[in-house]
Amino acid sequence: MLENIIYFSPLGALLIGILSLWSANYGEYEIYKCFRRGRVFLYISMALGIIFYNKPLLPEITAAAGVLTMFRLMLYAGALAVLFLPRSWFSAMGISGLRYCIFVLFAVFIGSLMITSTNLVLTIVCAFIMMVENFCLLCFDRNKNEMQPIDIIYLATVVVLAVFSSAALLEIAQISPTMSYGSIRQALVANIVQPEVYAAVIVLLIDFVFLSGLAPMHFWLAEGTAKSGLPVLSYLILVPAGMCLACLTRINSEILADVPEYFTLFYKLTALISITIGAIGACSSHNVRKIFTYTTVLQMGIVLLILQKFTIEAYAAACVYSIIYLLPMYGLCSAMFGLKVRGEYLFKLTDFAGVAMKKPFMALMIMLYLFSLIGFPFTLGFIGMFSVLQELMGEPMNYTALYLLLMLLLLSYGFWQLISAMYTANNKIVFDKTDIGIYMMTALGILLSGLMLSDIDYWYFQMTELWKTAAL
Amino acid sequence: MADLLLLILSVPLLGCLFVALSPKNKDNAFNVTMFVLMSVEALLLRAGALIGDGGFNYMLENWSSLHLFFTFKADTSSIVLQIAIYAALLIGVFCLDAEQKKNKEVLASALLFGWFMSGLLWADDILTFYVFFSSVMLPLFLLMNIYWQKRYNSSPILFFIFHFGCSLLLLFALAIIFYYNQGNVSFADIKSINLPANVRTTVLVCVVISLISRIPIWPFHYWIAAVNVGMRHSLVYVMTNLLPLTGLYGIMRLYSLSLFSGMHALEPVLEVVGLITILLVAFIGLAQRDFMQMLFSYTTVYYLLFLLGVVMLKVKYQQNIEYALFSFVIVNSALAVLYLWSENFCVEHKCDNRGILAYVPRFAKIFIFFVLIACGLPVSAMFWNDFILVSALFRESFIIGVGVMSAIIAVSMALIYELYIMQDLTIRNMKPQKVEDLNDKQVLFFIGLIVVMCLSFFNPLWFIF
Repeated sequence: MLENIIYFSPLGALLIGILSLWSANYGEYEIYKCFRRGRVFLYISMALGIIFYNKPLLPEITAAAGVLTMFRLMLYAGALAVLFLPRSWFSAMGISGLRYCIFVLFAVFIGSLMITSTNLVLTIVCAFIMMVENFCLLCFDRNKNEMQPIDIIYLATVVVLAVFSSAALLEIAQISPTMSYGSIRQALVANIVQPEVYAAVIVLLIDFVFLSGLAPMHFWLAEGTAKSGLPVLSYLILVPAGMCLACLTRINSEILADVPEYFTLFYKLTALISITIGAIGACSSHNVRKIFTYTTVLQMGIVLLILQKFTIEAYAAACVYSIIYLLPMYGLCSAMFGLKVRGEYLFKLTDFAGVAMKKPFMALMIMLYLFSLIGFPFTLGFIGMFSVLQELMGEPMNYTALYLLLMLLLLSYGFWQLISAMYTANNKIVFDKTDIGIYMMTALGILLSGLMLSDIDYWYFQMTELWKTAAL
Repeated sequence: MADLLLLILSVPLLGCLFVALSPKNKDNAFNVTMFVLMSVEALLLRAGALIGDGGFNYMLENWSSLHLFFTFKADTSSIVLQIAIYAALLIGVFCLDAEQKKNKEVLASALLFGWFMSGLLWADDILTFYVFFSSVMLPLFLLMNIYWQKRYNSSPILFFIFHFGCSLLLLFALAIIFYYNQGNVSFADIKSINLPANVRTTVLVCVVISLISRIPIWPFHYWIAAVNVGMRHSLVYVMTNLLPLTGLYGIMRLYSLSLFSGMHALEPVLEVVGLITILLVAFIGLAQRDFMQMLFSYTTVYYLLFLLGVVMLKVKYQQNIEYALFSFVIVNSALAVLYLWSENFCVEHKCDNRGILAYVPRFAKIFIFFVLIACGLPVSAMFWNDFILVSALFRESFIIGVGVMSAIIAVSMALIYELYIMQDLTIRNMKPQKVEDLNDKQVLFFIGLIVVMCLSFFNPLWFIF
């Protein structure tokens, strides 16, 4: 009992943080203090998570391993970033940041449960809670009466998915009553040929496709974030990615490991559609936030393309690639918080005219991050992209790699437009002063990228070792 | 020697960082740039004197588990070309006006460009080659965005989408080679990789397309025309016209190392297309009235001459091509810089360029000399080595020899006609007035260049090596 309480402490710290922030609602509070409080509880939870990394909360339904701790650390890092960056945004907009902080802490709580879960019901329930939370975040900075069509479509999709997922879980419960990953894995070997079981697994995979914003279920990510504020955009780009990657990777390695041939096509198709839509969406958009969200769709598609191999090396490569693409996305989010004119944050391409002249450091950082995302040489992204190409070179004349490069070229068009706009002269525009913390956070991304690049061997090696030794 | 190579690779990069961080609107950036360029030239001359026949290697191996390493190999030919490139950059930087000298973005980009070119010329494995080949367009892209003249239709974005797309083909080929070799491979070892026939063809086609795309051969000729017309900044023009050298050098490496046996299937195509392009561009240039468009024709004709020389004559005349390139790069850069100087002069004095040579005697002498060198005046390595190349082309194929010779004559006539216009005072009624000519430093600089060109009649810098 005492052990359970101790091993619950990482999640407990998050709960206490949520309650503490909730209680602040009833008194006077400063926005900065709320964010600081949220970060403090995140640090405590993270530290406790590292200390008890190999101690599962409830061994029957959760697991603990080095690789899971790594996923949780990605989640914590994203959450810390989205609790640091938008403080000034909330002050400038005059919106309470309290709910946002609570949402982020709650997301980390649910995400940690989802990552460590070994019970499919728990995983799916957590996924749906995340979907509802995403909806709340998409709406939180708008008027309650102001429901956009996209919100209605999102809710309808969640309801439909909930119905189908319930049916899918019931179907799987028939072949594996305990619903643990291990038992489902064994049951699938004999039962996957049944169309109902196969369809049930596909439906559950679609839940994660929807949650991570992969195409063709990406509509909410692109359209919803275009209308939402920067903090929501940052959250949706940085936080759910790690969670979804963790869940998909675990499902691959612990449930579908013995029947990969049935799902390779699903993964490949979803990945290729995501890559295509991500590239086309990014290059045809004039809203910079949409460009970034479509880029996220494309990058998640690339991760899925790696995962379709169902090998330990593929899982390790997917994890490293996720970190490689999340670092520049984090840097871009930081830079976006540093660029505003008369209190308005920039979002259209034309708004960025003259940034390079007035804020050369920001422009340079944005450019480096964008180059990293398209795998330009001398960036961390090049190593990631090259490793992906090597993974795809499984057969002679593998056209998937060529297709990926073509889509990268399309994506680069969207990025070049932004860079071109930044380096276009515009002497009339006057940018607001940028907080020194934003500069530091933006530069931190480059520093971390440089550190990772200097010893990328270590990352690939360690990631592979983590997966090999994971007793999952 | 490896330390010297590392030093030569490091200096431009450090200089670029220094310039980028220097205060705005001061002379620091310009002074540092000049110092770096001259230092690199001196170091290259020293390296050339020490190099001997074998060259020297340097390997950077930090990512061994991913089978990634970077190998650099310097030899005489790469050092000669680098000297020419840095000389061209020196010409471009030296002739900037007072306001342009304070623009540190341009200067930092020039140093970065020089660094990328050094890495490219010294790359001894396919990964290193790709990395520098792809990166070299980055400084150009930045500068084009700043200096692109909006009245022209072409866009810098399309320019880079085109080049980035072609470099991605090279990345694809690189990934295939990596897969079959289980890691990076130096150029010399590529032949030993066992590639299936269809894979080998795919790799070859991808590599050739990516390299050829940098050279102004049809259908890839449009970008350089658009850029030459759209850019009126001398240093940016110099850098843009060095870009085809990256493709040409890649083709030369392919042939010198006999990397792919299937090249003979592509050669007739390259020869025919090259010949047609060279003739078309030359005669279009003859009809132009803008000197920069004539210069574009001249640049295209000579790059295609060198390409035909590589493809048809193989390794035998490679040294002649390199020596001719040495002079060509310097002459081309000098002509562009000088003409843009005169264009600014005309804008300042609100006149056209007819007869202006009478008003600026120093400029006139230097400009005339460079135009005559460009046309084939026998005072430089360009004349002698071009003579050998064209003779060899005649021997290989009479038709191609005739075509090339016609093109050279056409572009030379175009340049000489422009020279005639610039010295023609028959319709100008104004008396020569006292106007600002090239200053003493600029005159000494160009005289120095002329001396180097004259001393390099057979081999560039024979007095050093």
